[in-house]
Amino acid sequence: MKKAIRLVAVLAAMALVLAACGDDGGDGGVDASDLELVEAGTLTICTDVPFPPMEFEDSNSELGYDGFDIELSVAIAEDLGLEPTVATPGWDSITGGLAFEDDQCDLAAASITITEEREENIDFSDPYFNGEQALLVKADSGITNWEGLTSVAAQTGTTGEIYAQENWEGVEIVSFEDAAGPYLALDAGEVDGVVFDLVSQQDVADNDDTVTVVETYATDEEYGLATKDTPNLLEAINGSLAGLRDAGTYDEIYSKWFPEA
Amino acid sequence: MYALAVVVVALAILLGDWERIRFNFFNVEVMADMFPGVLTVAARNTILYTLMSFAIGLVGALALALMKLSTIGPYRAFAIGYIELFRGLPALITLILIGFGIPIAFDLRMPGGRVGAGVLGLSIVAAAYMAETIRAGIEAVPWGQSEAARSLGMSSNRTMFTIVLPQAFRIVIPPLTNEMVLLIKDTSLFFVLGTTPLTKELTKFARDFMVEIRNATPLTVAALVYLAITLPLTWLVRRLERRAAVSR
Repeated sequence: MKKAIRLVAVLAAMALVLAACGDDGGDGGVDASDLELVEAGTLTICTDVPFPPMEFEDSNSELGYDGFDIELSVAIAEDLGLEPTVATPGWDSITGGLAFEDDQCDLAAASITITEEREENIDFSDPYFNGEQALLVKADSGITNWEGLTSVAAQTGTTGEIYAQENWEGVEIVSFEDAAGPYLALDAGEVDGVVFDLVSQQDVADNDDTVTVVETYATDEEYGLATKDTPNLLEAINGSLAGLRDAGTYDEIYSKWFPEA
Repeated sequence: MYALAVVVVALAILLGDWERIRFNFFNVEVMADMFPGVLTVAARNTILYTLMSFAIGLVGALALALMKLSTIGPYRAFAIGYIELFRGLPALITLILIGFGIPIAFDLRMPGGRVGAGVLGLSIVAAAYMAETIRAGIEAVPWGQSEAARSLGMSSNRTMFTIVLPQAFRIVIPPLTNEMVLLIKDTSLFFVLGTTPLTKELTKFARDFMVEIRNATPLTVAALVYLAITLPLTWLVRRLERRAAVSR
């Protein structure tokens, strides 16, 4: 009797193992609509926080997040008749495409600059924002431009880091995995400055008197919303973007987050 | 039961897509790309950070062990508090505290920059763990030794430093070497303080490589390099333990 029970247990375990191995886990098997969504009826928006005013955590907001990118994506979701939800898989996995391959995202709205290199891994929507880079330093440091820097902090894999690597001879570039590390390092005096997108730098400087933006760099960069291997969804997103612009909704959202502009 | 093991192994072999595994984890071209950087920069940094943290931590651990055994109340209290605190916190939090928390709160710069802060943080953690080991070693030295030393007229300090400690160290070398192995792995936390191309340690080096080429082979290489560093150490520990056992 004991032997029989053991045999049944072994067979059951093997069956479980086989069943687990057999399920691929979503090579497109989860599509329930022709928008190729991760979850039918829901637009899963991926972003990378904190990056005010574009995206940041906000306990007062229904989604838990707020910002220009978030609001724009929610407007697109509503336009497509989808329920929005937000996920944060990490900057590298968004720009590298892994977050999409893992079925964690439908759309990424994270102030992602459109670059050829990134286009090899993810698909971009039409541009929705003009970006530039800026240098933030402590107000009492006496530094007025990049040449006064010994070291500068940046987030790994951002256009700011690339700009500094390509243009700032002799400046030590310290890289961090998230957008908060560089500012912590500046506060702690570990670096002389932070190089990052102007939108974020300006927001930080506006809210903190101890730091100031000393230089901006016109890089002709544009942000795009990202998807991967979901052409129908991409087309729908572009359609929504155009519609939002025509209806004036884009301008409304823009002037809410950038009132001086 | 052997049958079960054979079946599981057979299933693994049949169900595994070995071509994909080879491409994603054992890609020879990628491996070749990683050298010599992975050794001359990454492994070198890992070993350097470990040795520095171990050395400073050892000094701290010795001080803490002596304080814990001291007859002076406040010394004991400090030692106990320190050890409980830094063994109770995740090493990552200690690193962030030393690297960011303290500089920001007290407006001071850490000596040695990011690497200095990382080594200091890890030394603080190492001291907490090694203090207990050293204390146990001191207590394991036969009481007869210090009795004899004192009866010969040696002061208690002299007894401790010339008679007890040398013997204690022989006892604790194996567990201390274990601590060093743990430290090697904790250096993988240094990335949180910010990295530059020349200060990256092994794990960060491998992860950045992975992101760049979108392949998991760098992890395999990093794993092998870590083992190349730790296995000789653990082998050394086993030998030392055997020798210590024999000499008793």
